[in-house]
Amino acid sequence: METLPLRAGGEMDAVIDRYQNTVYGLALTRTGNRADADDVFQEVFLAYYQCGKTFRDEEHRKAWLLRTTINQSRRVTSSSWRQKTVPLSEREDAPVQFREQSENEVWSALQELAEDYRLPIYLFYFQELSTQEIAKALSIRPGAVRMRLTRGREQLREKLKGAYFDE
Amino acid sequence: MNKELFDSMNKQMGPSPELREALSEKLAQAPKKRPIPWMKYGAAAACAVLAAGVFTVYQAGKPRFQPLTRTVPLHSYVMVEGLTGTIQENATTATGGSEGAVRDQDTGMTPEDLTAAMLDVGYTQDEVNGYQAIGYQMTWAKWWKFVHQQENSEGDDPFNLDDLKLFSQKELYISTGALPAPNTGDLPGGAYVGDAPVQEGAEDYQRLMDRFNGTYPDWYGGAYLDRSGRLVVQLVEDKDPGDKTLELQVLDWTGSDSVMFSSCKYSRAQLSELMDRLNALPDSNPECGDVMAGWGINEEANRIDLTLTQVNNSILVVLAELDPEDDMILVQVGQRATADVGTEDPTVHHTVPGGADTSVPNEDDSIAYEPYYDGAKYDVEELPEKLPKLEQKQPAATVDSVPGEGSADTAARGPRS
Repeated sequence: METLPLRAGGEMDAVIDRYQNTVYGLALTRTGNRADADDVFQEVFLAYYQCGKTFRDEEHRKAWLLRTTINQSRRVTSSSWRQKTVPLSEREDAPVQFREQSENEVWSALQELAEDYRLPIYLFYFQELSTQEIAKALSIRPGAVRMRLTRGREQLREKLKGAYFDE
Repeated sequence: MNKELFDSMNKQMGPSPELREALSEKLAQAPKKRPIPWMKYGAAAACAVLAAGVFTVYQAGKPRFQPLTRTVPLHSYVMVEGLTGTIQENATTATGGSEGAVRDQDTGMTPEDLTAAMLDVGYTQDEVNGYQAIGYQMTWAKWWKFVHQQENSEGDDPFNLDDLKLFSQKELYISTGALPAPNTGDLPGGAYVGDAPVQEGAEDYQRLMDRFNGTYPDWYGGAYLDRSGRLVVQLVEDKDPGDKTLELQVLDWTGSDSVMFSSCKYSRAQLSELMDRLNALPDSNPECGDVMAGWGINEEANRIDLTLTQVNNSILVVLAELDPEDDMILVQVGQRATADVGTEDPTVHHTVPGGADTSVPNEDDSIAYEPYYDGAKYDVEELPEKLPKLEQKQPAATVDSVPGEGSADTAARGPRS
């Protein structure tokens, strides 16, 4: 893996290339629609560009991006303006569409989970983070992460009726 | 979980090329460092200043805290329980040497009282009869003085007839049915009769009063007769101690070299002024007047002694206003001394020069002092030919002619403490 400068602001294209799917996917999972995920995505990397922070290592940079993404997603979804307005464009609020039917079913089931279970499931299965990394990103204890993964997986299995799981 | 499925989904969860291009444009236009949000900080500071200003204005316009009750000073008082002389714990005493005790009433003893009293202390009936045959007019005060004196004596038989006779010769006069024993004219017989030094002191006092001609100078605090009968003139403390002009002036006026001097805090004029205000109090404030039994100037103690039948906050507040330093009026609360109250005006009061008051059995003062004088008439010009019988005793308050205030005698005392 290419070594990137630890100081924020440098080599932006390379940093975005490496973390764009992580940031965007987390934003999409958290907000549930692409329009908000687009805003979060831009805000996160703008904040990264302007923060002037020097990271200890790549793990530190990744944790910072995950934390910032969650915070920006919360800010977008909790704004009173967003809660009181109805989107004019059907496309902007349309559900995320995947190519395969099975993918859409899994995504729908994932979106039906509570946020406390949805984010650990996404970070663990989609981004393949460890429970320690998930705990740091979500600011909870690793034990809580494991508990939420267990309960979230059970709920997901119920919603999908056991399909798409490799036990 | 199905890893291939998730990988496939993950690949589709990336930003669109348009979004990536838009981000690149924003990054190209965005400053390297995020600008400091001065507007936001300024707005926050303005809000803080506004809030502080509003709070200050609110506090300024808010009415000051007013306590529901304000502290009202109350005058101190001495609670005296009956005639026993017990002073309760809450009693506070004023200055002067005569507060805080109870004096037996100086009433004459009937023959039956005297007989019972003598038998009580061990005299035989024959001794009682022999003593009563002499005709001494014993008073309760004299009797207790004698008892107290004999109890403290060192003899084996303190209560013998000789001692009683000797005491009676000194202290009492003989009730013969004729004129009473030598009387000074204005003095209660039991107190001053035949005491030559007292007579001299009284004359000194009278000469001094003649000089004052009814108006007391500021330096004069009062006068009284001490136990030896000498006149003691009180001088107000603010006088220069090294200046003996006043002492020489008093000696010159009295023409006596036996006059003594002492210092005091309040002038006689101040006491008189306060006395006038107390005199007016029953009319102006009936609530106070109802509980005021008697009051008078005690020149020896340099204060006014006031007796209350009962205490209430109303009169204590008034007294505190009249006597802010709480040492000009001695307030005593207790029962009146005489049982036959109806025969006298409860608010009768006269000047009490104090001094050689030999009618008391001890050094203590009392609110229970109610002179009960057998002479009945004090005016020498109207003395009866025969003394009234003992059963016809009258209280001192019924005296026809009251000596003027400032007299050295103690002829008529209102209920005083």
